[in-house]
Amino acid sequence: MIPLPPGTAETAGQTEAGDERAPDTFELPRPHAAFLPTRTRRVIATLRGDVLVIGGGLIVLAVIVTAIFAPWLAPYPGQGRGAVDVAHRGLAPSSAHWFGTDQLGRDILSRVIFGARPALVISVVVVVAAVVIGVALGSLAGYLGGWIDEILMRLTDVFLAFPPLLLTMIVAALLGPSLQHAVIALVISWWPWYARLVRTAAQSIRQRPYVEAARVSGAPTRRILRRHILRNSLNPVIVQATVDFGTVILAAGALAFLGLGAQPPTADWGLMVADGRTTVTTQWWIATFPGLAIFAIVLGANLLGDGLQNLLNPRAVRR
Amino acid sequence: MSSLLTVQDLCVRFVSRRKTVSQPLRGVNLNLGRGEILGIVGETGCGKTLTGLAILGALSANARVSGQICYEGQELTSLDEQTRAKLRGTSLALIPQNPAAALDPVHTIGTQLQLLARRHLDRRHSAAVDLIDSELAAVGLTDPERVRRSYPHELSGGMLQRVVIAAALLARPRLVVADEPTTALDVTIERQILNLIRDRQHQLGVSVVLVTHDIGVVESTCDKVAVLYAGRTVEQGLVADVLSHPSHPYTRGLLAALPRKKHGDGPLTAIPGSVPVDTMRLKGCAFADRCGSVRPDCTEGEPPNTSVGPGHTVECRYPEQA
Repeated sequence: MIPLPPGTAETAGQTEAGDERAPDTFELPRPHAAFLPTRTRRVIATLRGDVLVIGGGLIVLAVIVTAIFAPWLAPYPGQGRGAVDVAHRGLAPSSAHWFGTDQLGRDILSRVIFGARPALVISVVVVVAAVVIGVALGSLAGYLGGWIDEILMRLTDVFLAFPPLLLTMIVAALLGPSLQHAVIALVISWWPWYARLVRTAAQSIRQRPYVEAARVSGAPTRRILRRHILRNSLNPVIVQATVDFGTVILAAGALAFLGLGAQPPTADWGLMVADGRTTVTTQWWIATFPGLAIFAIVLGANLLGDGLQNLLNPRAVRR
Repeated sequence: MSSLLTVQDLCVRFVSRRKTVSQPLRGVNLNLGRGEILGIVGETGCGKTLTGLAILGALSANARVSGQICYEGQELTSLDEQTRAKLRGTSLALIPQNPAAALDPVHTIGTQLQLLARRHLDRRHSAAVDLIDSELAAVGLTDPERVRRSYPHELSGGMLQRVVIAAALLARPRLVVADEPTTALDVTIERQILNLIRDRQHQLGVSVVLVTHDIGVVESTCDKVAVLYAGRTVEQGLVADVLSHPSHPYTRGLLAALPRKKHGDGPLTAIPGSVPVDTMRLKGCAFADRCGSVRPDCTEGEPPNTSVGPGHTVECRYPEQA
């Protein structure tokens, strides 16, 4: 510690003694659970009592656990992977087959459980790739502006001009039906949304005094982009990504339903709904249970996304 | 006294599609020695903040600068952006106007100060923390560790102002531009912050350019003063000379508008009129239409820069001899 000269000590002393105004240091929040880091305390404080977020989080967590432990959870793991059992085809839900069996005698419950795997892989890969591409291009466009902004944004305009699902279908159809191609098609139609989102945020953040202050203190562009622009524009991206996590599963299901995504015998929810659609009046269970699975994960992701919006705002700690 | 910073005939204009849309600075002259505090005083829109930013080289891309900014014998306006960026923060620093906005809300104070420390001083983590703690203590923050762990919104305005002063001085710059450091604070804290700036300035031997609209602050804090009006330095010199013998009618007006005990309860004197908006089409003295002692030839040609005392210059055709 630098020895304080009389002048400074006097100033500090005045602050300490305090008149009507409380001394500055007393305005700090008193830690009530000092053993936990600030961030953890903040998360707990915001989460407490928010049933919807917790519910959404639990649904998403359940799907992740199901996907990881599918072979142990499924009553007929072989059928989950595609083995057929023609003798037991088209059975209604019973104690042996809780969700019934499909036209090839496969246990629907096992296939719904195994279906969580492609669903998760697709959505995670698509969202991560779209976020990486979109955030990189969007923050560059928003911070640098000028002709770089012009070129990148006209490019996103081209993609955004088409309805997203139509664009995805066209690309998937052109590439040929397969799971990998469906993923590529989804990334192509998803990244421009993130680019737009981040660009708008970056444009407003680059004019904030703290970015100017960073520039004045000699920070290089690279660091300003990473430390200030990116960190401050990330919250809407995280919220959007969480919601998209569900939406992508829905879109991937739609592609599979149309025969452009996952191919049989993969246990894919969209594919299973497609299988059951012709017999939905007589054998309702074939399409209903995978449909419910899609519904559940989309709902969970949406609830979680809404909750994160509150959680990620450091100012909205207590309500 | 050798001079650290000399600004000669500094002009800044803003262009849009290659056309000049405004020219807020039309001839600023400053002279600052080592270890001195120079007050830049003037009313809103006279170019105080812009002068500070021009010295730091932090103007926006559509600004065009002419004139000389000479720092330690180095002509800053002719340096490339990379060299200037290196100079900022290490040799030149800014104490910003509104500390609450100048700190990034998503990082803790400690994180932000460490970025500065590591960028400019090349210190390792633990050494940087020690340095930050001692600097925070030196600006009168009694619990540096807790300040480091706080986010900007968890601290009061006075504390944040101390934090940005610590941030500006962290790399031990030679020249600090303090851009109205007390506008966001109430008067008791204003006094403390000004004392703090002066104390730290004495201890570290830095030079300070203090931008303010309060000539009372200049009187109590600064060694030298430059009075700006409509983007020009109209009068400059030692505080003692300028305030006791104000030679430009504008400076006299500013001083007359200052409330003082000895004047009794009489109404304060105001300068009639307001600052000219379109300074580009001005002919002659910019203050002519508000000046109490204007003469016919004041609107013909720019007023000459005349010396009225040692180091005391005034831009007026008919400087008043007090």
